Amino acid sequence: MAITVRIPTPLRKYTQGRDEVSVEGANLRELLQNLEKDHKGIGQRIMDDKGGVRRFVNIYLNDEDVRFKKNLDTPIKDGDVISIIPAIAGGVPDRSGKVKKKVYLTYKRTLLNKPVIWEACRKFDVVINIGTASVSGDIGLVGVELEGPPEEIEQVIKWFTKRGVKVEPIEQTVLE
Amino acid sequence: MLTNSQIERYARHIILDGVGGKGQEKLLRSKVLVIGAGGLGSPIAMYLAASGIGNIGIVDFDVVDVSNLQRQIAHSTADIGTPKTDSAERTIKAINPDVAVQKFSFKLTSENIMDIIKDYDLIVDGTDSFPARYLINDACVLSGKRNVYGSVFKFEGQATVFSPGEGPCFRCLYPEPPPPGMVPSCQEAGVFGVLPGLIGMIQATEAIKIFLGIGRPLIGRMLVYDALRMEVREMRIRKDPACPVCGEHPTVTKLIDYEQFCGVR
Repeated sequence: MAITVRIPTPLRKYTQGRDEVSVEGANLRELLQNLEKDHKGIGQRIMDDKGGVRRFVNIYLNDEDVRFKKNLDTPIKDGDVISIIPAIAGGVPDRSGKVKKKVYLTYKRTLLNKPVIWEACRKFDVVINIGTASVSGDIGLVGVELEGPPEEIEQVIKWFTKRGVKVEPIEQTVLE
Repeated sequence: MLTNSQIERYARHIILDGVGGKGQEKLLRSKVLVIGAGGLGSPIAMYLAASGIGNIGIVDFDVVDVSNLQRQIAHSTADIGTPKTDSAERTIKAINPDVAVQKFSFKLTSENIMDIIKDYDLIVDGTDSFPARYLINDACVLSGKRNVYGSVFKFEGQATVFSPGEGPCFRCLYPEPPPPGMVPSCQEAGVFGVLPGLIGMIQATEAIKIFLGIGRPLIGRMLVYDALRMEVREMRIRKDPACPVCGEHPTVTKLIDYEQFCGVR
């Protein structure tokens, strides 16, 4: 049973630019789980950590807001169209889209001669500004400020960790 | 009573069923506050002026930048560096010298918005940030004013009319704003230049219909426009009984700090 899901512009980067995709599911919860399976990353943009729909996103079954139906338990049938419609503000806003986060990166010896920060900058939409750095023996410690959209910062931290770099938050004022 | 020159200027309205001389007089007596003189506000203000809305207030604290001109048609190359309110006023006056323009060249805040909107019959939201959207929504709900809403992103736009007592408000739709950075801005993502023109026209159309009392207003419905598919969808939107500002037990009974609410400070 395939349901058409209409993807809003801000989420099309998860669907290879497609404005609609076909997903299976007997109810909305199942459908969203399958949507995430097919398009990694889209789920966290729609749902919060507790598994509810984010409060700045609305989901419509045909032309009805599912909050006024059975929410995630809303049954879906063949031929239905699901639309995901996030709040958009438009225009050129205050420069508020980016946040800053200061962290210590601790390197093991094996990583010391790899350009990990350069790789991170290439992979993610994050500006990395080095505040302090010291290499002693077989450990490297770099204090950096990460600047970018919160989700990118979250992603780059995950990536560092996977790469074997330990990431710890720095209390404010350490670098300034 | 319409003057001879007004009868000439508005002849195509006056012969139109649903407007007529009486309707045109209503428009000339109307007071609209257009918040934002950018991509949405430009076409809105220009068509409201051409249609003979007698009083137009323009709110914008920005100056014209060259990168605005791809879509903000109330401003021209010669206006770069001048306040948008001045440039919009010149454009409006050039279209229709009958229109009285009030300029508010500063940022709307919780402290000043109530005093400004109280003199207007209708508010048109052509702003570009979540703090402004929530501020305008709450101020309109608290003062019982209709708010004609429009927003754009890349190739996609939304429009509806929030009418206190008759339909949902912005918070019924979206109780909380996205955290900063979750939704990219037009500055980062770009916007199709003609798009705010189309959405702004829907807003201007609704404003004029409301004054004339004709047709079916865009209340309880949201239009979602996709320029690439050239498709308009209509979503039913409902008043949320649990809405913090217009619900049964409101928790927001006066204006708050919207930048804090939206996490931009």
